Amino acid sequence: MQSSSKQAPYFYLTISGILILLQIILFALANEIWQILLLIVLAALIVYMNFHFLFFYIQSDASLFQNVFFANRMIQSIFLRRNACLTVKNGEVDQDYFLLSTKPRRAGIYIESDSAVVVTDTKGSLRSFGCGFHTLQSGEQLSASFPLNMQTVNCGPQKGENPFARRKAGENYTSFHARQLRAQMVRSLTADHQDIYPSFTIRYCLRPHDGIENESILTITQFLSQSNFNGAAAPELATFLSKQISAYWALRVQQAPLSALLSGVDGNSFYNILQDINALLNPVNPSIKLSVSSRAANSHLIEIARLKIPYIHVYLDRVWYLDVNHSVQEEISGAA
Amino acid sequence: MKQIVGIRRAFLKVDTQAGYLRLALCAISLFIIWSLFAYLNAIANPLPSLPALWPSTSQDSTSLASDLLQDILSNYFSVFSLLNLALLLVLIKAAFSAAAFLFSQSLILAEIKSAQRYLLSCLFSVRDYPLLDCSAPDFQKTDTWKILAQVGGPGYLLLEPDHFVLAQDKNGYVKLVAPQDGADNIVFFQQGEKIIQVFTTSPQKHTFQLQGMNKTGRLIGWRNLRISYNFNLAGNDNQPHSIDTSADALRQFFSQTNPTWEVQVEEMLEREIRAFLLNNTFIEIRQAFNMEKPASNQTNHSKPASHRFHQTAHHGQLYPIPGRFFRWQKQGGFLRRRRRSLLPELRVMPAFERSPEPPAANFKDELKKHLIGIYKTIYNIPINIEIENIGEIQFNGEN
Repeated sequence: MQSSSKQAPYFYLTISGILILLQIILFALANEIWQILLLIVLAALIVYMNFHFLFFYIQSDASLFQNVFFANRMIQSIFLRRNACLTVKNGEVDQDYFLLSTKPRRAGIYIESDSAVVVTDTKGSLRSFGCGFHTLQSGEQLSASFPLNMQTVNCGPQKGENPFARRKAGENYTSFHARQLRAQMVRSLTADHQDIYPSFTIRYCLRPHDGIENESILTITQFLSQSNFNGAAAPELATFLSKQISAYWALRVQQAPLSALLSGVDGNSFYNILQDINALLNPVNPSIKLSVSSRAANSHLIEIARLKIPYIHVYLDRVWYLDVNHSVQEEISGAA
Repeated sequence: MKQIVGIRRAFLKVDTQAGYLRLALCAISLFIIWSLFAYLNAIANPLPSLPALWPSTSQDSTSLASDLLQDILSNYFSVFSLLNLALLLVLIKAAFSAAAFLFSQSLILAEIKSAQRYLLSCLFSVRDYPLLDCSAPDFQKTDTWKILAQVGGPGYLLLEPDHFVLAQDKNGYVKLVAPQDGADNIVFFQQGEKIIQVFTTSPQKHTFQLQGMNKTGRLIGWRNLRISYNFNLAGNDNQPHSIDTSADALRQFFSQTNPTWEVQVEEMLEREIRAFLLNNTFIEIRQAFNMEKPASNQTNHSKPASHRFHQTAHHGQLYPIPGRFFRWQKQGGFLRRRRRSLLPELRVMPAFERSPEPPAANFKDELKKHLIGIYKTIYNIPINIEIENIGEIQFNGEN
């Protein structure tokens, strides 16, 4: 791939500049000051008009203001050697936008089709931007950026990890600590005080069904702004989903002994719990039936359901529990 | 203002004839502007010190027509006129390059020429509209794909006969598009229509080697499970050009970060098969696969792990059993048969263990039904699934 600076139209802009300068000198020699002014105005008009026509093929619904704005940005970017606009790709804004202490007051944004952003103004009202070129007005700033593609979040011990295992020889403290944190996040106790460590895969998609309005990202931004969050929303959302689903799992597991969970009496099998999680997360989906035992502890999942995520589904990958008959801690059940 | 936008939209619409018309209008406009410069040179002569570049004819010419022509040409080819004309052309080119640069930079195109070609084809139709050959390897990494997916048409898509395109129209609605009969498998995308995914409806096969667990938490390895699948869009054969069935659902399903759509489908199938295993008991799976229990494992596997042995630590508090029994146990003298006779209530197993297991339903059909049902209810996607080979099951290292 060529670097963007090599592709910049320096040549034509330089030649234009030289020709304008030559004209100005000639007019100045002929003492035609008004013609110099006319020349500059006409030259600018020609550039903007052309850009306006061409920009129609890039974004057909762009306003005249947007065209002029982007033409200015374009010329600035060529000479100042910086990007004409912020780019949002896969739910992340380039150029460390959210880390900048002085965020740009007015900026152009290009949002790829796999992303969306929510913008807040000085009054705190929110509006969302989808794919295409947009402008940030004075006083507006990006609150959160979202990936619209299907996202996969893994929660709990990873493949090959044993949550019961102590620190192995050669395992550094950082990775051991990370492993412990992953395990502790999903740790749950059964009614007969047995430790269980599940491992979930959460898949969610924020792309709206109708393809136009995106209510869920506004709701999520409002929810995240309660904790003064702004930035790429995917990691924060993943943490929230993992936490709530693990909490629900822990409450459900607490209600039954390990033997009941393994055998599935009274709708308490791992499969039943998983079905209930998915039913509570998708309250509008009539195909998923809710079991009676799930209704006691559903407050955690109601928090998620309030976000109106268009698609969310949870899978149980593995479950670790300790066989009480083995004196040595070991992984009894683990898959995938 | 709306009228101005409407006029602009009509004037700039992407169409071959409109493109040629715009090209002709541009050429005429350029000539008019050049004439204007010549006129200005004739009446005002802003740069009198500079001579005309048009060579003058012989001095003794007396013909009025030739003098007039000479005068006109000298104005057209004066330094003032030519300098301004050159400036105008360079400014137009600079604006064009700047727009192409913005386009290329935003879409992260490999070459700015792709953006230039696209803009030229839209504006003047002097270049062919972009053509994307979907049979080429890595066609989704090309600049043409990026343009058609991010900005949209105009552009052509060369498809395989059984391919469908998931596309989004100007208003944001999603639709399925198939090549028309007699159109050489070429689909044309209008301005603003974007490609989302290209996929086939012919059966795809995949062999799964997966691991999961059953209802009682036992590790299961499932090898050589061969499944063929295809999207069931057959009901719309009579109107192949535009199909609206489940297009939105397909869009959500395909909007993933996996390299290909086949990988996405296979990943989803694998997850759902694991979920299916989770709802089956050890005995059901054994019966389905006609597996004989190994003699050494019969006792242990007939009940869950926590029930394999009985804990006696609490007996002191719960039962009036003389302490000597447990001392015997510690010394290895506590017989299982004897303990049972002492504690008959402990032999009572839960109802689920005692009840005779029903014969397993046709496991293959159950799995197929489960997968089709999941795709229909959860993803709202019509898919045909055939299990060609059920494969082999392995429990904790045993076959």
